[in-house]
Amino acid sequence: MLWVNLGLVGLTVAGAIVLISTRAPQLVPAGRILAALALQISGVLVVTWFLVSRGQTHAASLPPPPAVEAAIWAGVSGPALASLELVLVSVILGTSIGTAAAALVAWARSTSLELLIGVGSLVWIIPTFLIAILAQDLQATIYNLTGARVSGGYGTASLGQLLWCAAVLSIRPAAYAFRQGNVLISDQARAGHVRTAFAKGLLWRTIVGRHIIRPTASGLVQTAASSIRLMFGALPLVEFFFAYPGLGQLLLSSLGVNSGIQIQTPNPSLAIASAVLLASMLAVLEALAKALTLRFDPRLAEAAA
Amino acid sequence: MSRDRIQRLLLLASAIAVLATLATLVFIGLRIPDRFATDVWAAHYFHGTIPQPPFLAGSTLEVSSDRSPQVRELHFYVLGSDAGGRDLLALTARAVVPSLELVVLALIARMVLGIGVGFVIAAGTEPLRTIARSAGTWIAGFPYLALAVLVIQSFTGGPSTVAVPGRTRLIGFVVAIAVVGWRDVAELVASRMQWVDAQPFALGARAMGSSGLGLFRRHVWPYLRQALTIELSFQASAVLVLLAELGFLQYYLGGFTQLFEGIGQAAPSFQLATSPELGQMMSDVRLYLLRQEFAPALVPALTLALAALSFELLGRAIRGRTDLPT
Repeated sequence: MLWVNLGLVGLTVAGAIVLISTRAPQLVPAGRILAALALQISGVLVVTWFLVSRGQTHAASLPPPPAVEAAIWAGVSGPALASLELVLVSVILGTSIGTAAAALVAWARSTSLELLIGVGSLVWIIPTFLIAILAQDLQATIYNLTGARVSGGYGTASLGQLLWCAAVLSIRPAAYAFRQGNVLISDQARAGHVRTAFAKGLLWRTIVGRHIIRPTASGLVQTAASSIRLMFGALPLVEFFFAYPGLGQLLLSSLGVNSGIQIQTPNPSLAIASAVLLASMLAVLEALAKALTLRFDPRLAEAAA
Repeated sequence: MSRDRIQRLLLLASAIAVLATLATLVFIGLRIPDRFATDVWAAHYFHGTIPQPPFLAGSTLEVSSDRSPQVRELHFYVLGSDAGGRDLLALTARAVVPSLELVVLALIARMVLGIGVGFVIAAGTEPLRTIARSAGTWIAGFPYLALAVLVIQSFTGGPSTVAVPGRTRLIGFVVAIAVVGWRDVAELVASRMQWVDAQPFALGARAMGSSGLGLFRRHVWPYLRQALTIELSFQASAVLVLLAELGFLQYYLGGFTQLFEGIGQAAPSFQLATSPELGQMMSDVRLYLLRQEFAPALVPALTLALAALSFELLGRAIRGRTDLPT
């Protein structure tokens, strides 16, 4: 019942936040985000518990959940840190580079750079599993040609492994952030105030920084949030593929998925904990993005208030 | 002809070309005798060597099956073989049919669920709308692959096993794929319905006494139908990719026979599909890659990726025609 209790705690916290917000109107925008976050995490807890418990009724071989809560935390803390590292590196590699490239294309105003848009669309279509296969093919080719082991070890959270996983994980989100960012920036670049600024003789970099990027900032943050969602979606796949010891890999192994390398005993409590932690990380990052969106767009903040 | 129209025609031509290529390969694959996709094959001493499966693409070998080891046959492996010496082209062609059946079933479930919830959000009572939106938020809270795995697990109790699966596994797959992707369809339906609802022609029709099914059929459906056709294409692509990812994570429909290559049961084993399905063909990808055998990993992966690509291109080709006026 630990998970149901935690779900109820989440619901209570959400209720408390709503009550506090009603007493202090200046806290309403932040309260709304935090209450939604607490509600979402409690919902995820209860749904995950329900799904895993239902699965247990079909699999008699699964052991009962461990009695000591500390054992669960000890089991998930390491993978949680590893996954967090991977996600942060992927966000830097993927979302940031994608958004920066979109801004660069707008800033440079070069037709040759517009080819990048086509490339971005093409990369976006390639499924993550194919990118992962090609990455491993590349590792093997480099090894066969030079004798250098560039994979960073298999099944470890080494720097090399982290970079390979992050590269594979971030390619599609980068393409998404680039495409969407480019559309937003191009639309903004055609706006009346940009033409006026251009006619007044302002420097192009000033126009881009002050009159194009700044008004699109909230849209760009929303795009970044969507690309992070994509990243989390493919996280279990990439971790399983490279045997990266993160939450996705832990979730699958504790559900009884045999990696072919090591045999893991199914553990429903670890499965619930890892799924909930993954979803919580995503929810927190999305809440942060929402808060940033409100900060960048005063109209949205006003509406929320 | 405008640049936009040329671009759309190019996309359409590309989609048709990819689909036609795949269909041709499937047709050729289905003409290879069944035994090359079902039996386990070993090669004999040929041109100075005894090749071990997986056999290379483009190789002609003298092989015999485990069912009749005394009969030797000369066979040309167009795309190579899997670890059981089975022709990859024959195997993939036979895997396409059940995979597409599953895609169609899952797609119907996803669209029905999405359209139903979209209706509730757009036209339901306030409590129903709140419930529908909250369910959407909770579903959005999960990473999609983790949610799909958890839903299938709740039906089957674990990843795929040697046993030939029953109807429960199929239901689990259909429900999982529907649950993961209905939200996009629901949001599309709700936004289109709300857009039509605010238009002067809809207000006029309502003022003239039109309501219910008549209003929907005459004024809402024409806008919804176009959008749903495009969404269907994108969703087909997404379902194919999800199927491949689930297969890779050992969640697939068919049963299998295990092929142990090491000593003892603890050694990594290949899972040879008894009734091949594309997702299942992805389940051994990691093992093949660890052994640097790329053909058995790339053939099903590329087939799935190309099929998904063709649906994506098709969706993009027809998308521009149905954008709402702003």
